[in-house]
Amino acid sequence: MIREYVLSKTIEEAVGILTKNNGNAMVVSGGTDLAVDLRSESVKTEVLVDVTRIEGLKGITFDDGDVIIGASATMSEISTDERIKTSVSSLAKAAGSVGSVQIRNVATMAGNIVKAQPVADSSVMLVALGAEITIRGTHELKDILVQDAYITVGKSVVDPRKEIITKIKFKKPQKNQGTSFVRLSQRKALATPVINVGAMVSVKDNTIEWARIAMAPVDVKPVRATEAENFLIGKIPTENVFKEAGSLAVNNAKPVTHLVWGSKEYKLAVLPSLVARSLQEAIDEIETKGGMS
Amino acid sequence: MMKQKLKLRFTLNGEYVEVYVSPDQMLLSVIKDDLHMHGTKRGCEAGECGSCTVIMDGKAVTSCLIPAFKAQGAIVETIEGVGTPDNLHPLQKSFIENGAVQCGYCTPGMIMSAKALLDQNPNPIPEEIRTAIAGNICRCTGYVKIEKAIIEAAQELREEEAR
Repeated sequence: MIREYVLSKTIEEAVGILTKNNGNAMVVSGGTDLAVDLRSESVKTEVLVDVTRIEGLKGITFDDGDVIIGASATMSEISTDERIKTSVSSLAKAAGSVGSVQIRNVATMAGNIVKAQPVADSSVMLVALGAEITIRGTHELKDILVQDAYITVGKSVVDPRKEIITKIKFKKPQKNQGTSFVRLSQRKALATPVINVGAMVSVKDNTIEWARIAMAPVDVKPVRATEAENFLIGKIPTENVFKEAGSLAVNNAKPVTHLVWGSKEYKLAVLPSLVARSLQEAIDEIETKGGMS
Repeated sequence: MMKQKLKLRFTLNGEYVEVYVSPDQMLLSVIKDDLHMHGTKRGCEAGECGSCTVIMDGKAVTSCLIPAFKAQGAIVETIEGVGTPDNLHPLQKSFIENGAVQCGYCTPGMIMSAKALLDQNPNPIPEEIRTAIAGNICRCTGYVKIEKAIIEAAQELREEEAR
């Protein structure tokens, strides 16, 4: 039973309340998932610590080559931010794919990470971007890769009863780097994706220097297509190379059948095309930026 | 353990309200159960149908998912604050004229989503309208008439603005 709702003003205060309540208090940010979980009693807590009024967690900053997304920046803020739309349109697209306008107006990427649903659009893209989160508890600040934040479905390394995410950080893609986000779903809004793929490609002298490909839901967490990534190193980007990479991506995928969101067989069949498409779009973006020499 | 009710202060449809609410209450429940304003509809209570949509600090939100205390100090607008029976808002007039209302259960939420859009973007393209109401489910109309109603209301509002 919830007995207290605290609108925290500082990170220290929020962490202090969590510590004092020793497991009986919990962080709430947008609360779009938590509200449902509390109603169904799949999550129980006595104190809710709302962190959305903490100044230090708000907003989006571009700082010396880094993009820093405050933990309480909403999906709407991220998907409509002109700087994000210009330099990391893939992330704007991923954030804009979440839920509906009403959900995006309050939901946060940090919340998505804590909630650890592998298919969360923004998290998949953050993995492709090589993003890190900063976690604050009674311990020192801890930085970890979003990719390493997952334990399994619904469980992340961030314990919302002990600690809070303060920010999400990644390197702003350079002129020779492109990113993309592709998604297959039954309808355009409020639909869990059948498959989503985030990609980031870096080119040098017209060949692929490295690529990061994140895909979901093909395992209990967003998965890197490492075989495809290794194959791409040193290749000249062509349609055939992307197709080959798409086929290799299947080797890192272990999807399961879901009655609504597609069978295992279907997911494995469409995955290569989606991966190939994501690579093409990332390269197209580099070309648009004039990053191919 | 006693659940202590605490004072929530916010502005609802232009009027300052104070109400004692439980820490686990959602904004929807405060609006309907405590303030007895029943225009806002209770539907799925999971953020998927949009029938409980209200505007909070200028943004459309599903009030079933908003812990009430998030509204502390906020400006909240519900369907009761949009037009009056004698002087309908252009959106309301246009919904009626276009047959965009059938059973009517989704309509308050639909109007609030549309209003949040038009408040920010007076001249939306159809794609922007569809995005704005994608979180509002209507099982009667098929959306075509709703989209048309919003386009016409936007036009009417722009003309009003120009006059």
